[in-house]
Amino acid sequence: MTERVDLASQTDQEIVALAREGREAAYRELIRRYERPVFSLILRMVRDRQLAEDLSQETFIKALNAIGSYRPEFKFSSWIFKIANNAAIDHLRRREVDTLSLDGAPNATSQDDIEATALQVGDKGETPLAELEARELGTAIERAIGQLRPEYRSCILLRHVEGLAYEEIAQLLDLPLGTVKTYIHRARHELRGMLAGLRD
Amino acid sequence: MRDEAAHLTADELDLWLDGRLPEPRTSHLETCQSCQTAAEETRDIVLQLSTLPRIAPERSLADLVMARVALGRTAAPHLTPEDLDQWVDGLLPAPREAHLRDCPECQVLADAERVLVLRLQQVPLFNPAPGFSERVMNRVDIPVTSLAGAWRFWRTRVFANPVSVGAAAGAAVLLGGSLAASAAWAAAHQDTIVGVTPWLIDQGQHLWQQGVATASGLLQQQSWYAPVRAALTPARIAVVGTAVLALYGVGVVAMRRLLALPPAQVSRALP
Repeated sequence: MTERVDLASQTDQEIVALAREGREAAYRELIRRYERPVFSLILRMVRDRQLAEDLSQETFIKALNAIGSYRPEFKFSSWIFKIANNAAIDHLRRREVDTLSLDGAPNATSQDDIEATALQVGDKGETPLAELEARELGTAIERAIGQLRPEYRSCILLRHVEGLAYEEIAQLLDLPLGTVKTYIHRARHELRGMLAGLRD
Repeated sequence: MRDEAAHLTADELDLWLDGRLPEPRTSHLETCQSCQTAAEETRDIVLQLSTLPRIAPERSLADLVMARVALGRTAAPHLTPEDLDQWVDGLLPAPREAHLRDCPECQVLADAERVLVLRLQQVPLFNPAPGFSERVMNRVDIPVTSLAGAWRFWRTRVFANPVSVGAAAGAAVLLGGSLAASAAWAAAHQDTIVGVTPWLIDQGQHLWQQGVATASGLLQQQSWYAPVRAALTPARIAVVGTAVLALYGVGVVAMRRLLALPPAQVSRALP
């Protein structure tokens, strides 16, 4: 308990140094600090709670097993968000059913396609988990985020939900700074347009 | 090359109106009823447009315009996305702030931007399912640097799985049993051990001497042995030995330089 309190007051870099020494409590502290941000980022990217859970686990396992190769001159948060974002983007590219939203997949052109790919909120027989997910991701802002391109989505989430600087995002996503700014400006423009026509 | 039988395109109708349609296409127009109709319709529309009356603005328009124009200066451009970023962060430079105060269009945009950013900043964080931390920890390899770490390793990797527990117990029984059996046999057969030991030592020495004698006999029978033996004077042995030692030293230094980590500036430049 004392160790937990001590760890909570230390910086990420200090916790990582302790983890490298084999301190189990340091590993747990890193998970405690980042499980919600990482899970939330991935959930908003893939929009599937079970999948987000699996990808978050993979993210932490990959990061913590490679803690020896982590370079302390970078922020730990940037490092773990990079791994999380890569996991989500890789999955979306593999599956290509990524941007399924409550309104149906964006590439659905006919009314039938839109209905077939839409998540039905409040369907009879919906599991409690699906109900929870629909409630969590069903607000206007979440629905709008879900309709953005994955590249825009990760940039806008990292900037305005996680509060990362443009430069950090560029470094994290291996993109030029100008591209990151363009993605974020376009994402905000699209979100403004979508939210103007929606009501919570 | 364009097919001369094809109907006139919109661009070609433009050229025809300007009197610049090339000859082959003019011939087509003269013989094609459909193109003649299209050309005439186009000409009628253009004629109608050109005869539309000009409507004079109210006299007060000039005053209204001049009231919004800063004399001697060009009008400041609207806020860019970068400006909006700075405004949301409260870092918009004063000249741009001045434009924002006077421009209703930019005010609407800036307000919408601020509301959006606030809404994004207020989206909630989600919790993973209970037990997330344990599920991760069960698959993380923590370096074993202490007794506690060793215990944790065994607890998570061996004791968590019934098959591993069975295998570990079997190995422990086998190892412990064989050790105990050896100790029991040795305790019960002290005379045998005492009697066998000198015999084993004698046999070992005998085998060693036989091996050395055979190896040296084989060496001396080689054709190159005599010249080499004659050439190896103490002075030459010393020279060759020194050269070999120097070569070894150079090799060690070279390996250390090759295997050394790059300095920080160089490592940052690496991809």
